[in-house]
Amino acid sequence: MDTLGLIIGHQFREWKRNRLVHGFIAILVVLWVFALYAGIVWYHSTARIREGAASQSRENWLGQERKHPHIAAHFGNFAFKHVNPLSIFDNGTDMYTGTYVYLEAHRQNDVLFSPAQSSSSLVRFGSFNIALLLQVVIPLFLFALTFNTVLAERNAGTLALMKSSGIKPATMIRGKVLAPLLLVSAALAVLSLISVILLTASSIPFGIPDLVKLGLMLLFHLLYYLVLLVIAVGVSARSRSLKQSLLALTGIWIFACVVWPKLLGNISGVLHPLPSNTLVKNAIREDILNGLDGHNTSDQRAKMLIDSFLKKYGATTTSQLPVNIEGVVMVEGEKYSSRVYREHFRRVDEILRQQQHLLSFAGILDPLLSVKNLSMAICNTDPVNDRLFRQAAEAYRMNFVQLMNTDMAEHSKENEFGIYKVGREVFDRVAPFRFRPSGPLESLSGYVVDLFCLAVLAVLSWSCIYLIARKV
Amino acid sequence: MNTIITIFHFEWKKAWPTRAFRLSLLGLLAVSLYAIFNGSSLIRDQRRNIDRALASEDSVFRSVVAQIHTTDTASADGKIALRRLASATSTITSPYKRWTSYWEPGSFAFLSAGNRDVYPYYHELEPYSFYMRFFKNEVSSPLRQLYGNFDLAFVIVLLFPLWIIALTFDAWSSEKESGTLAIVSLARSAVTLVTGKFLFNWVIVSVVLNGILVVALIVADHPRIIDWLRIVGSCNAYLASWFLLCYVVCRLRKTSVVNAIALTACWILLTIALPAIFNTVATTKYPVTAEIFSNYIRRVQMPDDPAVKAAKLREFFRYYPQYADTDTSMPAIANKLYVVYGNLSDRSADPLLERYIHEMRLREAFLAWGNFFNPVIMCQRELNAVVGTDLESYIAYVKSARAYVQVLKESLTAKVFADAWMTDDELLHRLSFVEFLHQTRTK
Repeated sequence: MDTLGLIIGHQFREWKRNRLVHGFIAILVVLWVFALYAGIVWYHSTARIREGAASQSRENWLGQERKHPHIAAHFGNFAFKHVNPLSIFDNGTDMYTGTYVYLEAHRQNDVLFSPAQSSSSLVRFGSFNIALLLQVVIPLFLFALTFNTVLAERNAGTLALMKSSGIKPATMIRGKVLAPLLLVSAALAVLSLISVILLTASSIPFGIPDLVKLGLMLLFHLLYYLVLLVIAVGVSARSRSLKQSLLALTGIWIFACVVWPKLLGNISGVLHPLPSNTLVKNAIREDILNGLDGHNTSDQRAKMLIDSFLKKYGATTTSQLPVNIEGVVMVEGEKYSSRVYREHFRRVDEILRQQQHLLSFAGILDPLLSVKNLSMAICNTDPVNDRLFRQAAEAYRMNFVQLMNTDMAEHSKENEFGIYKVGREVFDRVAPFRFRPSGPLESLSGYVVDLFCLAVLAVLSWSCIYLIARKV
Repeated sequence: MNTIITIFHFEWKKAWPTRAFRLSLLGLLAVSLYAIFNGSSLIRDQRRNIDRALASEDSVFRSVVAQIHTTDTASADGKIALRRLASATSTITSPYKRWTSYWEPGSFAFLSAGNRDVYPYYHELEPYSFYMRFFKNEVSSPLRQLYGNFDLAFVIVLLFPLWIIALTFDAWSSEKESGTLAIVSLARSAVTLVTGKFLFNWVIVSVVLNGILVVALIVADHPRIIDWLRIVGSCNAYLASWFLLCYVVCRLRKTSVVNAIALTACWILLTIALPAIFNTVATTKYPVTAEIFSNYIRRVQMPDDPAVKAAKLREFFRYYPQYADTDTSMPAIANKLYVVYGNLSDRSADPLLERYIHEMRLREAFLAWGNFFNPVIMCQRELNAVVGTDLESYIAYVKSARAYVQVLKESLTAKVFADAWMTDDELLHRLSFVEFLHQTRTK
């Protein structure tokens, strides 16, 4: 066995005798099982409620009485957000994003009822899930395991002994970093395996892509722990006393996990302020009415469309047209209003992206920010997933509204709002809403900066081992 | 007394030259001032958004009145346009004529924003149907909401205890570890020494805390002194509880490292672990089903079946017998039927709102019960309650908005059933939400 292996083995033998480590592992297991159990219960109850509401909405759509297709488009549908099994591990921003949206003709409504809106402000203390364990609690355990790792050797005189027996300080530091990393990796591997078995046993659809995502999530966290461990061992090597080392690491932990993310989150909002709902909605209304260029009113657009159809079919009045021009105007109007909505929502999304970029770049100073973003992304509980849900819901809305408008244009005559009616034969052509979260690679595509920051920090940390070793 | 003064004098001379003490003091002052600024910005933005919504409402109604006066009533199209602008039916059912309700931020809301950035705090309401338009979201950043507000409550509830721990964790052990305890004990008892040190630190922390709260009082807009005193009382009592905890740990006479670990563990347990665990249990045990509203968010539509229409009218006349002698034949009743449907739809959704509120209250009651021993949660709840950013204040707002819509609905319904048109005065001088609240309170 090489020297590194011996150091790691020695560390494990020491931990085997250490009741504090046993306590840490026991606490970790208990908390993990609690978070998993609570997550499974929550998953089942939420999925049941949302699936029930979705099938009710579907029944209402199909069971509505015979009516004019455009009136049916106004009756509308609902899109409910799919409950993602990986949200049991990290629910990310799901608490703060809406859960369902009413889809109707002419307008794109807000996605309503974020879970946080149904709670008091105590919800801001966060919920206890596996991500909290991985990102906040385990780092604390790691700091507790390592704050005295070099100091204890120095105080006991074994550090000088090791040096004199030919063990390079860099190898020793590597061992001090790798030992807790291996310990936590082993613990996480076992706990993850148990989790997957429990999830499958609880009839939660947990497929291969989810397994890959879980693996990636753990990998990101291990890189995060590597950075933290190098910091902890470095502090332990540089400190003059246990008290100093402990205080420094506690300070780092509090700053990195509690103060800095909140401070940055708020600064990002101040630097990139969002417009109010009233401003956005008024601007949308204005642009639909007067055109995106401000010169082409909705009346003018309709007139141009009618004129083009009259010209195309060589007709003098709209009643001579082979289609119902009112339906055609509806189809085109819907396309135009959707374009306007898209443009305004794109601007809002751009501001949100800028806010997110600030937090992503700040990951170079605080790896928690990077790992948090990556973990949310891989679990499809990040703002990007919410955006994709909104886009899928809008695509679905456009599809069924245009299906109704096209039916109106092709099968009814002008001024037949009260006469022409369709029923289930048409409503059935609208498929139920489906939204599936993106795959692992696609989920991470918007987080290149975070991946870069975490990778750079991990490599830098590993290189810093030599710097730490020189001071030992 | 002399002993205490001596300890104060000595502790000050020892603490002030220390870089760590000065840095922590300046750091805490800086984050406190930033938190006041940040909280104020949030509330200022919210006020601005409310003002925009009010201005938008006003501008729509002014434009309606202007259009009424410029419409050419000689032509058939002009008559239709005029009906669309000025008839009571079109006023109650128009998606553009909206009345604004808002959750007025209290003078000290900036100190503890609570869930003000999560709850929709203003609404553009349609008297036709409350539920169809009430539920909305303000444009917001989920990431910012995830990380929470950097307000003064955060600094006081989470950061001040850390400062107290840093100042006091080695009050006794440092003397023991540096060997000075034996010397000091010759003149004074160790208990007096530790107590003196705690009193000194308590004075320092209190001066800083109350100084910051004075700044908050100066920044606040039309503050009520009684509210400020309640805030001061709660915060001082809260920090006193942390001093007590630190004192108890120090009196156990363990080493500085053990004290630091024990107190940090207490801080993590009380501020992060236990609240998060109780939140998780509350969410799982007390689900709040917002999905129940989906049928009422949907646009109200009138069925074709005459029997259904007749049944709806009968139900409506039970609530409003004064309209029972209305001509119910078509087309006279056509427009009125929309108003009837909107009214009945809201009435049938009201029990769901009550259920929704009840579910939220159950969850909150569980959280209050579960955290009854936790000073962190108690202080946060108290601050939110005093500054009016708590759940009950929000529920009160929601209920007021619902009542406001009902009042608007009923006054407009009277005009609809009288086939009346809106006058300029009625369009320009509408019942505002503030006037409504004032009337309700007076009643």
